[in-house]
Amino acid sequence: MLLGKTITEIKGFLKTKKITKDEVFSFFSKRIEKHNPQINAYLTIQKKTENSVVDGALSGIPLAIKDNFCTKGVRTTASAKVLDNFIPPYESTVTTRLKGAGYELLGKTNMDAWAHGSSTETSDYGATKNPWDTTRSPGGSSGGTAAAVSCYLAPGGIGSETAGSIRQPASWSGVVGLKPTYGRVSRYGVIAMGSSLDCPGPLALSVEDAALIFQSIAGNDKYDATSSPVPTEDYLSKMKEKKSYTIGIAEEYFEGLDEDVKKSLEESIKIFEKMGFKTKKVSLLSPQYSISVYTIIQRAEVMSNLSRYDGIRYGNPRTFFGSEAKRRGMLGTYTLSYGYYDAFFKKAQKVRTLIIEDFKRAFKDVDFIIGTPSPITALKLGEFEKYPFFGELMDKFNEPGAMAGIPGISLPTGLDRNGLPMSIHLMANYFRESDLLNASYQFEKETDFMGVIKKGVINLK
Amino acid sequence: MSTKLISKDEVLHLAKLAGLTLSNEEIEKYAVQFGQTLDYVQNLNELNTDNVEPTNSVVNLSNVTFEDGTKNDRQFTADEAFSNGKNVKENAFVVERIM
Amino acid sequence: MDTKYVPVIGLEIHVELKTKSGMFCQCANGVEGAEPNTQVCPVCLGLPGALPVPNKKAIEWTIKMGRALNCAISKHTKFDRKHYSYPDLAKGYQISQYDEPIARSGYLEFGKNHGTYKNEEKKFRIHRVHLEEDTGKLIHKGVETRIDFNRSGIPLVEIVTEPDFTSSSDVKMFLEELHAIVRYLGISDADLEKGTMRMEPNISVKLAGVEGLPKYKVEVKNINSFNFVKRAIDFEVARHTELLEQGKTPAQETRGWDSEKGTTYSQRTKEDAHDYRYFPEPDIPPFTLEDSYIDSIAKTIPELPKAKMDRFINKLHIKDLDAYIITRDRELSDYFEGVLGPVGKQMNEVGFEQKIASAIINKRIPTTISRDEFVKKFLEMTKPVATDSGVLDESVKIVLANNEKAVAEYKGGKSTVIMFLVGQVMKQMKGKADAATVRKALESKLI
Repeated sequence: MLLGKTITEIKGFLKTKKITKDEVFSFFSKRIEKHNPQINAYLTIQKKTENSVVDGALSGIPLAIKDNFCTKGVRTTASAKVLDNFIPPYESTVTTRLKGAGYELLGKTNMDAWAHGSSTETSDYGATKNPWDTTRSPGGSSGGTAAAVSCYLAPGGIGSETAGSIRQPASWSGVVGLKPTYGRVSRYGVIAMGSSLDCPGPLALSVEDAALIFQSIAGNDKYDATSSPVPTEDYLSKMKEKKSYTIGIAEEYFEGLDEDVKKSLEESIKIFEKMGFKTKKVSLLSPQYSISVYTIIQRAEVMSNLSRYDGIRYGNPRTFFGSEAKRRGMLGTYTLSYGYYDAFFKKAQKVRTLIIEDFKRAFKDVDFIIGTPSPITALKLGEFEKYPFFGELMDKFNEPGAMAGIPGISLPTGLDRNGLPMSIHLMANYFRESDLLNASYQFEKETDFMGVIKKGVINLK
Repeated sequence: MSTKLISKDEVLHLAKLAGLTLSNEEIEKYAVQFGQTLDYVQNLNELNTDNVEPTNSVVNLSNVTFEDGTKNDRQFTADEAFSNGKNVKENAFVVERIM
Repeated sequence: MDTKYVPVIGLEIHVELKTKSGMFCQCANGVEGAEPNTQVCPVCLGLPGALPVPNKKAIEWTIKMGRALNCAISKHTKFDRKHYSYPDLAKGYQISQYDEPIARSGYLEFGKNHGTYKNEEKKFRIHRVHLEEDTGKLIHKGVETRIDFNRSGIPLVEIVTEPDFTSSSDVKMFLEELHAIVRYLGISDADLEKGTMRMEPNISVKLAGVEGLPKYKVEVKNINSFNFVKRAIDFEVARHTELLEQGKTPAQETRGWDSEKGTTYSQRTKEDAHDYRYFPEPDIPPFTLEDSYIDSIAKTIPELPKAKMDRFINKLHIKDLDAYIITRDRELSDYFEGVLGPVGKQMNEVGFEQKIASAIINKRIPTTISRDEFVKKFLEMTKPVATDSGVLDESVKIVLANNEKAVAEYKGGKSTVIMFLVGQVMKQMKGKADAATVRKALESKLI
């Protein structure tokens, strides 16, 4: 009865007492027990409900939490052996807020180790499989959460995005993924990857579910100096208003797309037009520059953020680092090194300014910019080895927005010729999440994307 | 453009700075990949940034502070502070003697 | 061959601020007798996912320090990450300031013969003053090193001077003044033994008359008294001079001061000039310091030691050295000025201020008693002793008769001899006389 139900629907059942929260939890526990050995979405699985908050927005709702969020008393590894036995003595702000809303922790999900990747294959605990085709990757770095939601090992969950890590796995796994504006959701307690880039955000089976989770976690945090004091909105109400927007179309975001993905994008644009939205051509800097900016800045921040792992106060020695962490750490060291700072890091920061200005200009004329979170659909496991900066290449359409810190939402549109999920994404100006959710909510009603998701859910009975 | 050559020595120096141990295989692999990555990012030189300020943070914030003397809600108990330390003696974290 | 080598010395001073909270977290600062690792939280213990938020007061006090050193306060300032690996550095980087420090280009000036020093007028330039966080503490025990992170994340102000010092006594004079200034500002206990003020000279030696800075410098650590600073510098200057005279260049390195042996020893080569890989701290938005804000902080700076000392000398006619001694301590200075008024009301004597100063410095009256008590005791003490004029005349006659040599010296111009004669008369009168009256009587007889 529960199979494939959205959080919103489950809430309804709980409210009318058709089901208890323990029954809900138990339903997912059983599915996890049955399917996780194959999918490897979860690294740590909780055994029972614990939250005593009964009238919260998420009371009784179990969620999958990416393993880079510190959950007090519950093992947190960031899928890295360095933190194999780390049990945080404190709670992240995101999970504190979810707790306040009454949620239940289902488990901690697999990811690319330290979030360094776009396929979840660099996890020190083995890759997560894509439920749509278990010889393929679910995307990354939030692949564990994406896969879990995709095959209903959780009705929703939390991921984080540095440049694509929510939207790309959402796309490859066929679920909704929202990357908020940088600073909209607190990073306190999130094991840092790219400090100027990391954004916690929801993955879910519907836009409304994503909005519900987002509402619970968004807002200023005194423990995060980069979190924004801009007030949050009533996202759920705003989502349901009748609004019309202008969508920007940049041909730079159409380059190198798989033909099915391209067709899906073009069809989606037509659907928006049919819904009464306007479209307008915009010209943006080529994403290839963002790849370079992102590679340089992110790897420098990564190197820096890995410096604290010396095995003294927690964790295993640095000899436990996996190869991707080492690779990124090395380049990060190089670009910050004496003599190279100006040529690389500072230059990248300057181009970052150009990217920000570029979006500012574009958003004067349009509300959203449309594209795809990935140029392709799910790759076979093992493919990523071929590229020296695989992650950065895969995420080229996500990187410009990430560098600017603007929000974006990934929406499933259908299946390609191989039966693999495809998605589009909408990017908006700073703090316009309510508009993104609004447009997405309307799009969801117009299209069959819930149908796509349901198909995924029944991949694994 | 030819792939920028990063010497093995340079790779080792960087590894030392970064506190990482590399196998010989890794040193060779990274030397090549490094070069490829550095080659790619040269594309930034195609853009003129002469009068552009670097962006250190995308948030439009400044002067974010806390008031001295604010209550500490995050203070650890001894158990919490030491809960993940492998070598703890008499309330201190212990390592091999340094000096 | 007359080769003269001159020292070239710059200083790096660290001052631990006595804020209530840490630099980036709310952990209590300076809890007396705290057990190790009990004043820690996710932030200062460097746990994964923890984030820093700066302490407002720490920034204010750094601005205050900068202004007290006549620095320009930067309109735009920020924090940067400074990377190096050491067990007491929880995050593997220290949050510090690199290219946009809070304060820059200041100076301290010293008048001729400042305090106990015999010097010319001097000015020493301050290169910069910036704010950073302290590291944990290491305690070496047997084959182990123990780490206490209570001190991790405590606010630390770093003051760097230009290499303007050419003598160890100048350095000592400067550091003592800086110490007094820091305490006047009330921002730190600046206790050398406890390490809330730490001093590191950077020493090199060059041939006199040669332009530019020497190609090497040696940093000396582990110095916890002003005397030791002087001795360490003297030792190093001698060591460098000897090497240079042999045609060798001293190694660029960090050395430790061994106070028992009175020598320095090599610690680690500064050659590896740590590639700190500085970059702007992405977790902390930058700062814009408006003039009005800076001025409001500058207004809270009290009259500083040198200004107060000069005022005591010039306006209150206190002896140079006495003024110096009293102004070393702000509380003492305040106490001193606090009793001037009440005494002045009751005592109509010129130079009474100096008398009070002497009484304090010679510890004839304690300063631990209340102001009113002090005034009472002082007036009591300086009440002119009833002097029998008859006995006085007799005694003067006797003393002058028995001290022909002294009389001759006095008449020959050595006016200080009068004090000896006064003493003799006082002795003769068994103390039952007022010194000022005795002196007048002698002077009138010695014309």
